[in-house]
Amino acid sequence: MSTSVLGVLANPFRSALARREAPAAVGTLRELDPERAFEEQLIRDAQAGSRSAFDALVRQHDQAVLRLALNVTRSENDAQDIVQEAFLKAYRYLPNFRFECSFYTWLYRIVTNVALDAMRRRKTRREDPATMADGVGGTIDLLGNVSDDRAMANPARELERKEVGEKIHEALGKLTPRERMVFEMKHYQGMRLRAIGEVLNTTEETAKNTLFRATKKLRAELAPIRGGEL
Amino acid sequence: MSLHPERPICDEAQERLMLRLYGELPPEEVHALDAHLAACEDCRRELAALRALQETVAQEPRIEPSAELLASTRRGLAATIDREAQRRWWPRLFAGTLSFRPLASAAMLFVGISLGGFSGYQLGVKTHPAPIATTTTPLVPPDSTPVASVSSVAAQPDGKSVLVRYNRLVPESATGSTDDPAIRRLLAMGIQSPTDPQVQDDSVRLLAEACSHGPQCDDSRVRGALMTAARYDGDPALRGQALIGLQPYLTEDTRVRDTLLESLIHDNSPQVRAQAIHMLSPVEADSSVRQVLHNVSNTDQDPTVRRMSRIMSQDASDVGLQIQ
Repeated sequence: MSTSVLGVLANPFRSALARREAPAAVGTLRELDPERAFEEQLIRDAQAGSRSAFDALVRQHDQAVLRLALNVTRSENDAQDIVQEAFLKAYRYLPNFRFECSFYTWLYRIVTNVALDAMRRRKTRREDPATMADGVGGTIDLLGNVSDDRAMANPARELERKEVGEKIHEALGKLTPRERMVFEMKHYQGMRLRAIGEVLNTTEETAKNTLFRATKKLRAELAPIRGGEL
Repeated sequence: MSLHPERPICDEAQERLMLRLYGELPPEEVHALDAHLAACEDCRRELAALRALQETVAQEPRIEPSAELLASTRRGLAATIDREAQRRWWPRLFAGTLSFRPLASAAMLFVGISLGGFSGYQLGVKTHPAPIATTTTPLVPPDSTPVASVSSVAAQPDGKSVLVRYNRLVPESATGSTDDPAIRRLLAMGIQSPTDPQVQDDSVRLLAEACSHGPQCDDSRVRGALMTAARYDGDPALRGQALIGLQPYLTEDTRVRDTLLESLIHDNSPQVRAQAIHMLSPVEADSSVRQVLHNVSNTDQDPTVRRMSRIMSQDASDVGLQIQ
């Protein structure tokens, strides 16, 4: 009997039954970290055609992917397109996944490739940087929508904060898509450079150089708003 | 160490300072760089400028996907995958994505086995006429013992009956102290059981208490179950309890530290995020912790969380960066 991880979760007794029937397979899983073992079993089930296992994998990552896409594109429509295309590719190519890297790395390679393509397309469109297209065709004022209790009592400070936000966004918009992606993953997501290199299918050194270029560009762009302090 | 023999400060030195701020400089180089910084005003100024840049950029508003956006994305994705699943088989075969050779081999094997089986059956029928009825006892499983799964179904040669192999659930119970590793493993399984939320809640509560006060929870499955609960449990109070259960292992297990950082960055409850900040105190000097605290102090939506992060971040700077 094959032991589906969803079945195991649905019923621990079934899991015990499966252990008696397939000691070798479960013994291998037992030595792994439980979360890794859980994910590995999900992947194997999804590779074997289990739609619910694939859905469970999607649920583990879709929110983080959507957050990443939303922050690099600033468009709900584009972010949704990136999530759809990335997970569709993951579904198509999952049978080819050979556990040679972590599933996270494999999935994020797909996600970053799709997102970089979308960002390159956006570069040619050049949308209003301080607004975001929502899901129904309207626009959202990004900076106006970010709540900041510190500034609410002081309209002048609120205005200044908004202007600074716009300048930062403009400066980020002047990075190349690859620089923007590396900066996003390092500065905002706190990923290690080695992991960024793996995700972008390049070396840690290249990721470091890209981050450095992005930092220099941002410094040059943002120097005026810190009175030359940068 | 000669960072920049010429003025102004060179790219290599800038790069090292950037890596230092991001906690990416190898430990053996950190000490040398810190010693150099103590004696070099240009480099200290450069470091301050890079830090100011990080603080400035951290002001960019981060967008968190709304629940509506997430739900609509999931609906759209499910429909896309449904369509893909429907068109998966035959088009791929004809498009050559699926290799035809193994399929043909499998089909020939199947045909061969079927023909062989049928011939053997015909021979058997001629030699030994089949009994009128053959049954396997019991005919149906008793209602009191639910069936876990059906493992095989085979039509019988008489054409009237069918052999069904199935596995039954045999409920068992165990009583013991929460210090008992076997009981802890069962509670860990309870956390992962989505069938009964009450089982999940009680398991998180009991296991967290046992791990925070009792003997070490060395079993990686037990710790892993608490980490899962800290990340995914729907109840913020239980996520907070799971974090408390992990606290004794924070300094020794980097996975626990990462779980706390994840909670601090992504948990939607300000109470849980504030608790995560409080619990990170023993590892506040760690570079990745400092980085996250710094980011949270500028970007978190909750003013209390921002304030707590800022205070902790400053404490960490005092402890970890004597270079300023």
